[in-house]
Amino acid sequence: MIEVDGKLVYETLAEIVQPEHTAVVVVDMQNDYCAPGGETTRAGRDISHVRATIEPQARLIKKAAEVGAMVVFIKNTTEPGCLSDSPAWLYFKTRVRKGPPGVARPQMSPEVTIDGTWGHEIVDELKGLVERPVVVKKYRSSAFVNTNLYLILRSNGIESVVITGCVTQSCVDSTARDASFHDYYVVLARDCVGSPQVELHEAALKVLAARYDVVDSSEIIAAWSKVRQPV
Amino acid sequence: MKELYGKMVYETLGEIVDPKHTAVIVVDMQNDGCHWDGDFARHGFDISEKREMIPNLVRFVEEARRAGLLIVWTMNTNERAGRSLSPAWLYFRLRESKHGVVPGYENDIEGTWGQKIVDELKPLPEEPIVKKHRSSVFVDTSLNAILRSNKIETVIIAGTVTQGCVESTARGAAEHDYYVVILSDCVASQRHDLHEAALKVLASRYDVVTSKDVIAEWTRLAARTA
Repeated sequence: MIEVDGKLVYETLAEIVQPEHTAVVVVDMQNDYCAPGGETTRAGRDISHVRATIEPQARLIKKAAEVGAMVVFIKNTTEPGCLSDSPAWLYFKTRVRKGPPGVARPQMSPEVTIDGTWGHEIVDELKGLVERPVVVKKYRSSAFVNTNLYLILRSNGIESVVITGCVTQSCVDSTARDASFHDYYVVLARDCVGSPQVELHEAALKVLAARYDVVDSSEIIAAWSKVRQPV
Repeated sequence: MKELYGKMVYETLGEIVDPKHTAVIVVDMQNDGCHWDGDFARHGFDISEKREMIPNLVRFVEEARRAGLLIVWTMNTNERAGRSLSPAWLYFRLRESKHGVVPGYENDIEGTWGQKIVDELKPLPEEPIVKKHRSSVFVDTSLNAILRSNKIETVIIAGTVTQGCVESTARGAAEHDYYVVILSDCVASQRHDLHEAALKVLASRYDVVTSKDVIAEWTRLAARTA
């Protein structure tokens, strides 16, 4: 810790991710984005990069629960009939994604992660890892926009967020930025974030790494392993 | 325009940037980041791409005024005595300094020359200037109230820096239900590599066009309604 202009500022990863003031925010690890048969695969996009992050996320989440860090599952949500989509958001969802291979991609239906459907559910591999997970529904890319996430985090003395999930350049990026704008230390677990568009994943991570700490989940787990277990 | 799920959704650039419902947000064109005597340049950061972009932006603002659009200016602002800096935001700025992105956190300070908008761009008295303390101009500012009051549906974003306040503001705008248009020839950064990476991601999500593309739409619309 150092003092800057009269304020105490954390310096090391260990200080930043201390379990009592850290929340692991798991972004959109839902069937429609990460499971075969979900809307992403139905549309013809490749989820292998995203699926490769499931195992590291499971390890990180289990360790978080063990050491007493909060775990929050974010669920992207569309109300049936796209009731929660504004005209501008429908435009965003349906505009044609042009560009070179790796950037251009087939359309997904705006009816993705519809509340109450299988597509909306957290993937089986991550469901049930935490006894009483916090679940926050969101309707836009950032988990902070028009949700109760900020209320929950500040009600529980959270100072840092560790971000995992998908899609790197979309909901992960927006959530990471908003977390920092709401005055949380932000750590992205590099092996725990993924995208169907690897080129955009790389471009987004390049910018994010210039702003926030992007570290391997093993470093976070190592920092937690030095912590005494809660009684 | 097409109907989707019972709602009218714009389809073309012309529909999206109609002057009746569009605002231009000029992000952080301030002396500290964009003037040769500002904090960034004095610490050896390369602001040449920002300087090169300014004439495009000046021309665009003139056209936007002629077409009758709402123009909103933003000033990134650090209150005096560090009063708007949280520990986490200090960590963020110090880390960005270590990574050669910014020259520390002592810039854009309230009431200083560095905070002011560059001379080439002169906000008119009736154009709101919104102070912000974080990258996105949608976080903890009056911007939404101003846009909503004027029934704005679309924001056209210009300014600096591409990967920081421009991208953050673009994301915020989309997530608060505005159509988002970003001007590729009116955004810049002191880090060309991050500017390029950010534009790649932005173009995959939002309409990234040139100022000429937008002006052409305004001209077409004016001709049709003449």
